[in-house]
Formats: sequence, structure tokens, C-alpha cells
Amino acid sequence: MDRHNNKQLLRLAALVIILGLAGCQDVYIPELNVENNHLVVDGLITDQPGPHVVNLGYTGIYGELRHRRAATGATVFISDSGGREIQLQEFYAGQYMTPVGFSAEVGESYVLHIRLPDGEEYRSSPQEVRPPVKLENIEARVGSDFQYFDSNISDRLYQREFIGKHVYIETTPQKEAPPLFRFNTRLLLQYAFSGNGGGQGPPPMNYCWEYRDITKVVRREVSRPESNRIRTAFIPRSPEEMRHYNFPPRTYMSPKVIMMELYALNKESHNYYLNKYNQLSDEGHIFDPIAAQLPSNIESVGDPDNQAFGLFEASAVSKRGFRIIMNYRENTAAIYPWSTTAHISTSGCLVEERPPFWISLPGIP
Amino acid sequence: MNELLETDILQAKGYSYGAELYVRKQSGFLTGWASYTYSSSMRRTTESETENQINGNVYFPSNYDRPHNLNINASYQLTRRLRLAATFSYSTGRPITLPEHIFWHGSDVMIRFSDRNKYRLPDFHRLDVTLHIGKRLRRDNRGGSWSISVMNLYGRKNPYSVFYKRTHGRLDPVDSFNLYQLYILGRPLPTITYNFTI
Repeated sequence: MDRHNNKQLLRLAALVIILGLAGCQDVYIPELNVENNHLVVDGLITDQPGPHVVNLGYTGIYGELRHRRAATGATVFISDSGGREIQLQEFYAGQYMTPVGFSAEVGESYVLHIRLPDGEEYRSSPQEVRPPVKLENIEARVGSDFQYFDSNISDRLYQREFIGKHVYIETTPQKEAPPLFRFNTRLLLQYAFSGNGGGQGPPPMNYCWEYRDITKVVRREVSRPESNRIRTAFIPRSPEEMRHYNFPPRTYMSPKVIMMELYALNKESHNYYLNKYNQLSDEGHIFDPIAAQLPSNIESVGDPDNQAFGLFEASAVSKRGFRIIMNYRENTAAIYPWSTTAHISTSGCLVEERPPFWISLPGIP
Repeated sequence: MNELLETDILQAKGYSYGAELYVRKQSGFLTGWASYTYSSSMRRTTESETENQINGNVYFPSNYDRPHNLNINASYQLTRRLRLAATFSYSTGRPITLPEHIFWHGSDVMIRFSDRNKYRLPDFHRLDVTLHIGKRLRRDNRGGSWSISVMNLYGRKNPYSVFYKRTHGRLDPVDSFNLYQLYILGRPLPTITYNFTI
């Protein structure tokens, strides 16, 4: 047999092997032996003036749940180590609110108490409010990031790389270890355009903004216990590309402001968020953490076997704003502290009037 | 890739035991052997901190715990040249951990998994058959023999692994994850072999 035939034979063998192995992956629908649904708690109180909200709901069975199921009609209150009790009122199905102005105190411990209409009682472990996290340093560096998008032509997702700036923060290490925290990052972008003046006089100027959560962009919202440095944001270089990060398709002006909220966590809450991150980032690859279970801090009062899920979190919050100006040619960034006392809505426009948080730069109205 | 693999490794203790049975028939038209093994392999963590415990430090089946294992190999001489052979394998499915509940935390859909290795993959079983056609009797001893086989005769899809996959970018968070099973041979695979001596 000559070399040509050998090659053909090898190709044929490879094809047979590929065909034999391809299609060896099916969606698996497990037969579950699952008991009743469990209570789920998603509650947060902070050292900022309230009201703060505790959400109560129930789990759904894997493969069946489509919508959240609220736990209504419960009696909910929070107690502190001094015996003070703060009653929560249900203002919407399954959503319980503290009194207006209530704030947690740093160093104090709080326990969440829940009594469901069927008499079942639950409570959280004591949640200590840790001191607010202090920022030691912030820096931005040029880099790239990948995002996944739905394809218009097929059912598969496609991946796209963006050039932009990564924003890193460093926190002040505490006595023995880096502080434990999670964060939210919001990005403020502005744009202006001339409206239709109706032919009389110059057209009016519209001053608009978009203010959105970009925490998911970095796909990690919790610090590492062994490091006090973490990436908190990624901002694409081209303002037009912000539409790929859930911003409306606009041509945005250059000022970019990020607002960060750092939530100081105790060990229990941090462990919950770390496992949450592990679970969300699990893509089934080899060496991925397996079956990251979320350790709840809620337990049944009378029946230890009656599990409850979720987290009651008590945190001190520090809010910081920064304006970032990037020099891509030299890979340097000028970062200025930025703050406003004005409330910034998710989006909006003012006609012939700059909003109080508007940043004017040379060449920009 | 888990960047901190060493922090996810826990120490555990365990034990294993089992018994094997083997019978063989070497004479007559029907020959073959059968083996059966019963075994158990259990593990448990001994950590004092709750977050480092698996199943609350209670014994659970290890990944290699497959209590029943049966193999039967039989061969029947139909005629001088025709021999029919079959191999049947059966074993209990491998233990796995499955998602049982889902719930929302913030805007994220989270999964509550079962206790470690609470469930098992479907049992593994497969039948392979072969028909051997021997050489014709010739004085010069030339010619060859044929083997016609069908692996996995009844086309069972025996999963050897089930994995969980979360897909980024889906608008509906409930649709963003699924369980998938992997298997190697999911349909009957016929083969034909010609054996000859030059």
C-alpha cells in the first residue's frame, strides 16, 4: 500500500473515531429525591440610614422553578446584643423593611428572627458589623477583557475581546489579615446633543447621563482572603463599545466616573460570597471547584434538619467615587477622587441645564 | 481553572471492603466464565470547622464506590466452523452530586446541591456479541477466519460522567445552566474482522 493510501486510511480512521465520539453529550435530566421547599433569606442591613430590606422566599426544585416564590405573612424582627428589637414590616410580597433611618452600628452584632405563618421559626447566627474598609490605593491599567454575546445567526454564544482599562484597588491591611469585603461598582457616563429648536434661535442643548452597575463585568464581587488587592472594574476604551456592557447605544463623552461601594464582611458572610462566586464561575472544566455549596447563616429554631438557605448580612459600607482619565499610549492613568451629594438616577436628560454631577471638560459643553 | 486548587483539598479518612466470586466452565459446547464482585468504598472528612466538612463529617460513598460488578463471558460452539460468543458487563452507577434546589440571591440564580455523592449515575450494562467463522479445512492451510461483532448490542447510552455547565450571556438566568451526561459508545457498533496468515 503506497503512502497516499496510508494517508487516506488514517483520515478515514480519524473520521470514524471523531464520529464515534462526537454527539456523546446529552442534556441529563436527573431523577431527584427532593423534600419540601426550603426558606430562602436574602437580607442586608448596613451602617447607612435605612430602610433596609430582608427578602424571604422559597427554593424551587431544580428544573422546575421559573419564578421567585415569596414567603408572605411572616413576623420578622432584628435583635442586637443589647436586647433591642427592630420590627420589620412587609411592604411587598416577601419583602420586609426596617424602619426609616435605622442603621446598624459598627462593632455591634445582629440576629435576624423569622416566624412563618405555619409557626416555623428561624434565626440567623449573630452577625457582627466589621469596620468599614479603607482604600489605600487605586490604579488603572490597560488590558483586555472578554465578554460573551448572543449570536443573531445561531444558538451559540460568541466571545469578543475588548481593549480597555482594568481598575484595581488596594485596601489597608488590618492587624492580621487583609480586610474581607465585597463590592458594587457603578459607571457614570455622560453625553450631550443639540435638540430641535423649531427654527427659532439656537437649538436647545440636552445634557444626559447613564449610571449603571458594572460589577458583573469583572465576574467577581468578593475580595480574596489572602490579598488586599483586587480588580473591581473594566471599562472599554471606546465609549461606543459600552453598548456591549448593557449601556444604551450612544456616543459617550470621555469623562468616566466609577462609584464603588465596599461592604465590609465578617468571615461567615465572606465565605458565603466566595462560594457564590465559585458556583457562578463554575463552567464544568476540569479542576473547577466542584459543587460549591452556599453555607447559610440561617437555621431552624426547633428542627435542625429543617434547612434554610441564603444569607442575612450586616455590613459597614464605604462609598468612593473616582474620575479616571487614561493615556493609552503611555499606559498611565490620572485618577481623581470624585463625589457628589446629588442623587443620580439610572439615566436621564436635562434640557438647557447641566445636572449637578455634570463634568465639564475642554471641548465638551 | 481553579487558581487555588490546594485550598480546596480536604483530608479525609475512609475504608473499603469487598468479596469476589468467580466460576468457569472449560469443556463442552458451552464454555465461559462469570465473575461477581460486591464492594464498598466510603469516605468521611474529619475537619472541625463546619465550612471544611463534607456531609457533616458523616461517611459517604467515594467516587469509586460501585457495589455490584458482574461480568459474564460465554461462548457456544454451533458447528465446527461457527462459534457464537457474548460478553455482558454490569456495574452499579458511580456516585454523583446533583443540584436539588435553585433559589435567587440578589439577581443571581443559585443552586443548592445535594449532599456529596447522594445520587448515582444510571447503572452501567452492555452486551457485546461476536460470531466467529473459522477457516475451511484445506491441505495447504491457507485462507482465513472471520469475526463479525456488535459492541453494545442494544445501544445503551452508559454515562460515565455528568457535569454542570453555566452559560454566560443568557438573558433568562434559569436557562443559563444545565446538566450534561457524557458517554462514549451510545449506539450499536458493528465490526467485521478477517484474520489470515501470510
